[in-house]
Amino acid sequence: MKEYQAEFLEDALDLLADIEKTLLELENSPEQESLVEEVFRIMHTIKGAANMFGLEAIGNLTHQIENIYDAIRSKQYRITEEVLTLTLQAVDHLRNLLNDRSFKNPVNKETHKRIEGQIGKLLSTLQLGEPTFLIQKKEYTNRITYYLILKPLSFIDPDDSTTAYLFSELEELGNCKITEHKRGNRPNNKGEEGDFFGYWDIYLATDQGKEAIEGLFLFVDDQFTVEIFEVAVIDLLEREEFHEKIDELEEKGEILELESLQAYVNELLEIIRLKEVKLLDTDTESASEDIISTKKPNTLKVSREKVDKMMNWVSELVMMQGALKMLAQNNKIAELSAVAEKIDLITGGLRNTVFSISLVPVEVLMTHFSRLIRDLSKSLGKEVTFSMQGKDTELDKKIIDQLTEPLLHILRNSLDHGLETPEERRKAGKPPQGQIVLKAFYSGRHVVIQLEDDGRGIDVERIRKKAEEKGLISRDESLSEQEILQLIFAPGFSTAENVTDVSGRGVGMDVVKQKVNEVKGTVAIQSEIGKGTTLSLKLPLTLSIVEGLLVQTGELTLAIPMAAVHQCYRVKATEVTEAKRFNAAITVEGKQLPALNLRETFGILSAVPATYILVSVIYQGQEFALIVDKVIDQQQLVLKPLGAMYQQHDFLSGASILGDGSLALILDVEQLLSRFKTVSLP
Amino acid sequence: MAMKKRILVVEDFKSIRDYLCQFLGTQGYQTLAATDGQHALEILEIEKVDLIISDFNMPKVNGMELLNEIKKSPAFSNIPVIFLTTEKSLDKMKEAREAGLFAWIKKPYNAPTFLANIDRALANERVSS
Amino acid sequence: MESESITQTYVTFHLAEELFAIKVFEVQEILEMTSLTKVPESSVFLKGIINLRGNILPVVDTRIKFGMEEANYTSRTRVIVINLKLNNKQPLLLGLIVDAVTDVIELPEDSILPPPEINDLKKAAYVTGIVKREQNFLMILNTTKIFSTDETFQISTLAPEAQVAE
Repeated sequence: MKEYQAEFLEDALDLLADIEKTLLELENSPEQESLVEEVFRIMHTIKGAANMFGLEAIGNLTHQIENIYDAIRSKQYRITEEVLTLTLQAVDHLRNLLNDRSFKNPVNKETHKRIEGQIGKLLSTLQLGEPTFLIQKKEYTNRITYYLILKPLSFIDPDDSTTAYLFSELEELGNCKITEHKRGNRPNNKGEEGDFFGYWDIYLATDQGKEAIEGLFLFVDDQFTVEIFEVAVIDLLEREEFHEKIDELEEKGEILELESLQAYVNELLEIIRLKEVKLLDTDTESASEDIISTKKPNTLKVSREKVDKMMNWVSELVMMQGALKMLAQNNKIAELSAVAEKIDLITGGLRNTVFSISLVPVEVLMTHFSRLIRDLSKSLGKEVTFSMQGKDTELDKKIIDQLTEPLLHILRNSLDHGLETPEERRKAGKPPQGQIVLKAFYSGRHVVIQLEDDGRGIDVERIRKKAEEKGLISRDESLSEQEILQLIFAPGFSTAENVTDVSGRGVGMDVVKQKVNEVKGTVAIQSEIGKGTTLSLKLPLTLSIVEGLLVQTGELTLAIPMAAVHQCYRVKATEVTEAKRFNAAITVEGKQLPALNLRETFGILSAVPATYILVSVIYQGQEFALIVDKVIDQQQLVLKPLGAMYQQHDFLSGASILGDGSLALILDVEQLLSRFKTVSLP
Repeated sequence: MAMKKRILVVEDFKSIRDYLCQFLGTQGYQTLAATDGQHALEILEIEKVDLIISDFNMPKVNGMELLNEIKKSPAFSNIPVIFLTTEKSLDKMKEAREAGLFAWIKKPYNAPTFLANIDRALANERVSS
Repeated sequence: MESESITQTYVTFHLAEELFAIKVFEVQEILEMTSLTKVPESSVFLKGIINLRGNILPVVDTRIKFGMEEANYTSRTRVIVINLKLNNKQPLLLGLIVDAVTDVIELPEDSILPPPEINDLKKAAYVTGIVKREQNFLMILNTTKIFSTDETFQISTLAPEAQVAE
């Protein structure tokens, strides 16, 4: 059940996310019927599944909401701000309920009551009460109306629940109208007549076919007989006129003869047809629009486990391919080398494709943000326009999942502290509406996500003072503006005083930074007083397989990601003379490059080779050189994490297992070079 | 001293099997689980069973075959059998009915109806025709 | 049916003259000493990493960790792979280099006495008990405690962006 329920929960959460998105769209275009249909449809789906799992509370609530949207789509009710807000609240509550299905949390119980009450009020204004035998509304498919005569074979105990269950099963097939006749006017199958024989006249409109009806009664054929007649090829039970007529006939108490019923039905059908023709023109247009509007592109839904498994297989393949390559090189068999090379190519292609599967456009964050902005801006009394640039930019889903909370926190901060109220803005000569832009773009082998606002900006002096007060820095410490701004991320910086209800909740900026670091990203702030603030998150594209340049330094085998590598040069050992870790510069091919001697950096003491290789990399727009003993090869490497014990080793992204089973350490060039202040070149 | 009724759940999908056993457990029944008809028959040899709830389409021995086997054997023929399946074919339903199936419940099931059928089966309300 | 005293199974190992024991369910496996890859800038007791069937296993020199002198590895040297469960996060595998693994034994709970005053504070933190067995004293270790006070595991502070060059 856990798996099954877990699947349902996941699916339900996805569906709720879809509804939320649709509701926000609906707010901007309330006339768009397809959106209303979507909400209705999704609620219906959740209701069905919830009921299957016996999750009554969720089933009932979604049923109620389904009714509201049904009323809206049949134009009995118009979309209002109130309804939308209520629905959004219900969606939030449903999310909570999915995790607290038995109302362990009393808050959920209260919320549930409140929302149910509000929905109930709404529904009563529409006079959508529920008659005993539910008359369901029209759905898309073609229903046929049947007339059934249900007779018991012997005396039926009025308390017998069998009929109740039969009827509920009938209702599941479609629209249903059941009239019970207690006194037996009809003889039973044995031809006996008598007072105590009852029977039922049932009108059922269903698209499931006659077989489904037969199947339903099949297993009680020792207790009942049923006659099934097809009466109309449309759903008559939707028609007021039909109900009225039947009620009339039934009241008369006459036995309904099939012929007279049929005659009546034909009459009714004629009338209906005439009406339809008039409506046809307006109907077809909107109908076809709905069919044409495809909201989602051609996508497949794949379980995360399957994707993870696939990734694992690809990782294994890459490792084996490395071993194959080594074997081919060592054995020098021409055909083997050719095959190994081909496999190298194919593995590379497979790797790229598989990894792109777990890449997801940042657009998925949009709904969260829109929602937050909508809710917050109202409660803070600020006007905000939110836009997103580069929403197609893709990131590993895991990274996006990790970053959602931090980004929301940054957004909250921006709304709460960054943006001014409309009056303040007017005074400052700014338009009353604040602007928040979320930008996403690729930069080198990173994805950058920026949150920009045009608010009041950050007062660097205030930050500095505050940091001094908290003992984070000393008074006479000289810091650049960027360094001061970075103090915002220091743990212990934000405290109760500047934490309002909105941006508080224990998610400090230090946690934001930590989460970003966890996915091997970096965060930076830029700000100008009066103009605004921009927060930039720089994140790696994907994590697991890296195309790397294998190099040797002493006994260490290292890998430098090819994406970072610019060029390789050979230099004589005599030119690399300085014992300091960071050589001032090395002249190579006429240019001077700051160079990092990895031997020194890593404390390698073995004998120095005659020549070194310089592997140059681009860091922050400048070319730097990494000095190694030699270059071994270029290879696809599966990045294996080093584990918690090596957390502080930020200059290493991980390790990789080479073809011969030995290990290579994968360098994080950014981190390696960022530890050192750039040395100005003479 | 009323003993809990024992229901044998026969279903090849693990998650559904587990879920059903859990669900029935909460309703006060003791459950046994089999992965297919063959397995079910093996279990029947050893354990006392009051009701069998089985899927229709299963590998090795499917629901229909299981039903036939059970009704053939004097030791088990009075154990009521309920199918819980997505299968909708009326012909198959008729065949099962002929063979003595107690009830045919469609997946996904409506809990009250499902439970009502189970109750009836266990109370042996069936009037054999 | 319970016996008078509950027994637990332990793996025992040597470090110099001293005998230690770890609960067997904390031990995932025992490996022969194999080639280590050194990781630069590691603390002195973190000897390096090895390839454990496709995954990276960090390996610790237990002698150094316990404040003893380092020793050469012999053919009896073993790596005990333990499974640490820290802070309810994912289990962490770690290898402990020991001089030799001696035995797997059953110890009755009531034979475990509280540890005596241990001068070495490092050891004091993770020795949870002591047992006299034949002529020897066996120190019972709690593997989680061995590392929980370690700075390596403090996740909260990561180096801030701007760092001064050394």
